[in-house]
Amino acid sequence: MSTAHLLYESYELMVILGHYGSGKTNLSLNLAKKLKKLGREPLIIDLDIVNPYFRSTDYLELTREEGIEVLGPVFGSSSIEAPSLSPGIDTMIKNATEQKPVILDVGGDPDGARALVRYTPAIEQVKSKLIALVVNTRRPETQCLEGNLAMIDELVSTATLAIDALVGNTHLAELTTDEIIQQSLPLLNELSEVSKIPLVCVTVPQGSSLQDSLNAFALPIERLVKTSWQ
Amino acid sequence: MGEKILMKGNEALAEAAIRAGCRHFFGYPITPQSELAAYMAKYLPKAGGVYLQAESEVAAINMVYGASAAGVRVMTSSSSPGISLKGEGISYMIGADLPGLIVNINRGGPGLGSIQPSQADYWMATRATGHGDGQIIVLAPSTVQEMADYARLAFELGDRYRMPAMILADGLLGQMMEPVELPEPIDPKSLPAKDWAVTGTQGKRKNNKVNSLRLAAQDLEDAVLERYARYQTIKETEQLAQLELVDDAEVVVVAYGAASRIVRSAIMLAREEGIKVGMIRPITLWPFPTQAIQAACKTAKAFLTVELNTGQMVDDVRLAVTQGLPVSFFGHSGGVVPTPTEVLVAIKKALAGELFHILPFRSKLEAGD
Repeated sequence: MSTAHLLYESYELMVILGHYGSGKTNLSLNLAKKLKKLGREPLIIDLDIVNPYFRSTDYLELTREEGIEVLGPVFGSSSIEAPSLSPGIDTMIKNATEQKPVILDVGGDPDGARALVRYTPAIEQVKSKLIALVVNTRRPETQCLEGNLAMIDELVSTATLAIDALVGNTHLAELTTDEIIQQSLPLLNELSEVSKIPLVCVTVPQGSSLQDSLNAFALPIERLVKTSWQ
Repeated sequence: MGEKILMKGNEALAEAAIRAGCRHFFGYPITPQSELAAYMAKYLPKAGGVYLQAESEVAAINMVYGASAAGVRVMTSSSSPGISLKGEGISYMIGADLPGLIVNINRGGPGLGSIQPSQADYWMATRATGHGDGQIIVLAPSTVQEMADYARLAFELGDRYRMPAMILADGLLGQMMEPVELPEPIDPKSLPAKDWAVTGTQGKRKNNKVNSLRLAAQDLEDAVLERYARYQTIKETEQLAQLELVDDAEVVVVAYGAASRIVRSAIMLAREEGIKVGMIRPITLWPFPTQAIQAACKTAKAFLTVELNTGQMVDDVRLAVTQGLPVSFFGHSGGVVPTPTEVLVAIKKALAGELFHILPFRSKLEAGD
């Protein structure tokens, strides 16, 4: 029996942090879809004011189809390069409930996490929350233990929030294989041991045979973040 | 070659440039190329190199001129408006026969335009990057892997022919992430010495001069004609293009960069319907791969060019096509990206023998006008 669902089922607020390209947006979209299936009304808040393309706000068609609400940067889908966030975010974080959970999709690296600091007081008021770090061991800066530990240190000191959980999300976009995910497990376990942050789940492509072998840890996800020609 | 990792196009190009022996980067931030400069700022000093954020694009390109004159592999990167500013310096580099890598992560124009992906700088890259009677080599990657591979190729070609080389990519290629296998690093000390560089004579040789000013008309014409002869060699020997399903194709689509990715999806849709269509993807935009286009004229009935602009490369396709074959165009501009379905419609029109230049006014179409 998988326990990976605990990652998203019982929280009012989830904060998704990680390195650029770790897969924060794809994970956020997947978690929202899963919550929607459970009859909840998730809200994704796109805090990514670092990337000009490929943010949660760029998938509005998909989220509209799924009935998922997304609150992006004020000029998020207008190509205007103004890093301004909606004034309503504080209230939305404070009003998060298990029925109406909030997912904060934070920009990559400590640069992206800087936008989060402004909301730390609001986040601290939420009783049931999970600060998750997404780890892709096939990204240049998070390929080894030292790189990941440095990323954690920088993120924690920038965001001024402690990380509660690690989410293994090793992928190579369309070239992701079960083997690539399996190869990431020793590093993820070592990182969890050294950082003393529990590894709560490892994402696997939907239908992958790893769902059985990893059982409790496997979180099946779809590839929702794509380019326009895919 | 190491294992595959996931990188942004901008990051992969930067890392590949370091691995190609580049230890000098001078630039100025602009979206959508800023990750390239940010990567260099972080990693170039670790490789023993110099990263310098100049006070402007004009300053940056002149620093490239200086470093290149001293014989090192050097680069700068920017996006469209920034490349306009570098135009003067690039012309000086051409006039002084200096190699150097210039990266343009093309965004929508003219003017400040948009920060969305575009191919509107084709003419600027291949016709007139700066003033004067000169050319630069222009390479057009279409994947993150090619962003890395062509960085090395650009340095090699630039050094071989003593001229600037540009990588012309669009915002999509700069921003998107794909798996990439990085090339083995080259030690800059192992690169062939440049006997023309101004490195100090130590009293042992005649001094070298790097200069683009030639006040006597005959001196200047001699230099221009010597360069022109080099351009002819490059046109004959350095054309590169990727051919896909061209052998039996009745319609040949010509597209480069991100547009070629959209066209590939459209070709797959067309082939499922039994339509014989293929693609020529120019890798070198200058020299333009006329040989590949001319070879395809033996079997093709029509050509279609797809670009993220109002029709620029289509001129070069028309110049290359023989036997009076029709060359049509389909595109979007300003940062709007065509869809594979739109391209499929254009392929069918070309197959039906229509000659057209279509720029769908999407916002008017959506408004029902």
